[in-house]
Amino acid sequence: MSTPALLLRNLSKEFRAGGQTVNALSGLDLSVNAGEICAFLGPNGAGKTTTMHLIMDYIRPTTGSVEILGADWQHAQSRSNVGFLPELFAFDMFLSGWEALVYYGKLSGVPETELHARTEKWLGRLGLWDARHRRLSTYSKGMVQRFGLAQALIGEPDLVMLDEPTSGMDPAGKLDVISLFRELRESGKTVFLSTHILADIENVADRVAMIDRGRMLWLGSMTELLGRGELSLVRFAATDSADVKASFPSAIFQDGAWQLEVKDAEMRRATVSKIADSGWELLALIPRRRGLDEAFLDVLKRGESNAAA
Amino acid sequence: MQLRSVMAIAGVQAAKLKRRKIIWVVAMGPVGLYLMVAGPAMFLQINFGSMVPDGTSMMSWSVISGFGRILSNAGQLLALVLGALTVSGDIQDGTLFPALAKPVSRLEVLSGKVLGSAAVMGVFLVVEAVLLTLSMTQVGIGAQWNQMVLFILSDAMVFVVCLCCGAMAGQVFRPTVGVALVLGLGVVYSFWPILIQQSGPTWYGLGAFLLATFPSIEEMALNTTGANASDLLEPAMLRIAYALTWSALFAWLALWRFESRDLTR
Repeated sequence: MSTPALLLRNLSKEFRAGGQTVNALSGLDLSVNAGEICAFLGPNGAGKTTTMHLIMDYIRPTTGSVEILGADWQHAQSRSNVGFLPELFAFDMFLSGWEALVYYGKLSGVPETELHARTEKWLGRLGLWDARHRRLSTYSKGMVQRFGLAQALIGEPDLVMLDEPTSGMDPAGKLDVISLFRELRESGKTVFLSTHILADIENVADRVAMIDRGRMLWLGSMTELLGRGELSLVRFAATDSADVKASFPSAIFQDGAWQLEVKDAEMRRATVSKIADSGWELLALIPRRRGLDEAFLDVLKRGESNAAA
Repeated sequence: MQLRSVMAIAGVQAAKLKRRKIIWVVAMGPVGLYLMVAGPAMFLQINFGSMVPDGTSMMSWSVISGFGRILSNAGQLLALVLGALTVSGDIQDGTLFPALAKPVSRLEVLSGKVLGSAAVMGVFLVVEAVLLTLSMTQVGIGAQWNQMVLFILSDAMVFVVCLCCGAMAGQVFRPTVGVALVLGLGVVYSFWPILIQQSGPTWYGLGAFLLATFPSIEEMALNTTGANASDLLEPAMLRIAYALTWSALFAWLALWRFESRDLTR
C-alpha cells in the first residue's frame, strides 16, 4: 500500500476565546491518497482553515499529528514537496509578479539553473505573463489569486493544498483553474482543496471530506456522496387530482402528468405499488443524481440530528 | 540553515522596509530637529570663522560630529521599531504565511528578517561612520584608526541589540504595543545617563550594566568638547562584548517565542 500524501491522526485544537475553551477541531482523522483530488468541505466555522493551518504548522495542535508524504509535519523540510495557497494571504505587493515568483521559487528550493524557466512557465500557465513586470499592487483580485496559485506551484510539488482557490475569480478564470486541477491529477500530483463553491469541485473531485464543528461528518468518493439516497422521479397519469393529493401531498402536476420525487428504494417501491393499486398509469421512473449542494446539506442535516441524538 | 532562503528573505525585507514611511519619520525626525537647532549655529560659525580660522574649524566639525551622534541615537530608536515590526508586522499583514508554507524554518525566517532590517540600519551606520571619522580627524583629538573602527563597530552592535530587543517585544506583544514599549524604552534610555549621573557615583547594578553596553554621556561629550579620545574609546571592546551578550539573549527569547506560538487563530 502506498504512503498517503497526507495523513491526519486524531488532530485536535482548542483555543481560548473570551475566557472559554473552544474546540476548533476534535479528533480529526483523514487520509488523502496520492494522486487524487480530495475536496475538503464544511460550513463556515467548521474547522477547514484551522486544519489547513495545523497541517502547515502555522498553529500547533492540542493533540494529534500530521504526516506529509510520510514525513513529520513539524520539520520544515516536510514542506519541500508541498505547495500551499492560504485563504487569507498577502504578498509583498511592491514586488513585480516576476520578482515575487522568483522569490518564492528560491524559498521553495528551486535550483538557480531552473528558476527563470519555472517562473516563465507558471506565469505563462496562469495567464500572468503579460503582467510580469507590473507590481502585484496593480493586479486585480483574480490576478492576485492566480499569482497565489503560481507561487504554490513554482516548486512543482507532489502535494498541492489550496484554501478557497477560486475565490475572487471570474468564470473563465475558475474554469481555467479547474482544468489545472485535472492537469495536476493527470501528472500524478495530489490536490487537497477546501472551498465553499461546491459547483467548482463537483466534476473534478475524486473524494470528499466533510467536516462540521471540528468533526468529520462524511468521507467518501464523490460518486458515493451524490448517489446517497437513490433519488428518483416518478411520473404517472391519474384523472382524479383529489385522490392523488390525498395519497401524495407533495405530488405536482407538470407537463401533462403527475410528478413525485422519492428519496430511497423503499419509498420508491411503496409509491409504485400505490400507483398500481389505485389504477393509475405509471409513465416513467427516472433515476436522478443529486446536486452537490443538495448532498452537502443532507449530510449536514444528518450530522446535526446525530449530534442532537 | 539554508543561506539562500535567509538571503532571499533578507533582500525582500530590506526592500520592504525602505518603503515604510514610519521608518523615515522615526529616523529623520530627531535628525531634522537637530539640524534646525544646530544648523544656524554652524552656519554662523562658518561665516564667523573667516575671522577666527582655528575656532571655526573646531566648532563646525563639532556640530557635524554631533549630527553623526544624533543619527546614531535616531538609528537606535529606529532599530527598536524595526525589530518590533519584524515578523510580527508580517504576521499581521499576512505576508508571512506564503513564505512559511515553503520549506523554510521559523529560525530562517527570523534570521532573514533581522538581517534585512540590519541592512537598512547599515545605511545609518555608514553615514554616521563617515561623519564621526571626518569630524574626529578634523578636530584633531588624537583618535587612532583602530580605536575609531572599534567605536563604530560597537555602535553597530548597539543597533543589533536594539533590533533583537525590538524583535523580542514584537513577539511577546502585539506589534503596536511592542512598538510603543520599545519607543518608551528608547526615550527612558535617552535620559538614563542623566538620571545615573544625578544618582551619584556609587550607583551600580542594571543601570551600570546598561551604561556599559550603550553609549554614555561622556561619549556624547567627546563629539562636542574634543576630550581625549583614547580615554573614551577604550571601553568600546567591553561594549561589544556586552552587546553580543544582550543580542544573544534577546534573539534567543524572540526565537523561542516565535517558535512556540500559534501564528493564526
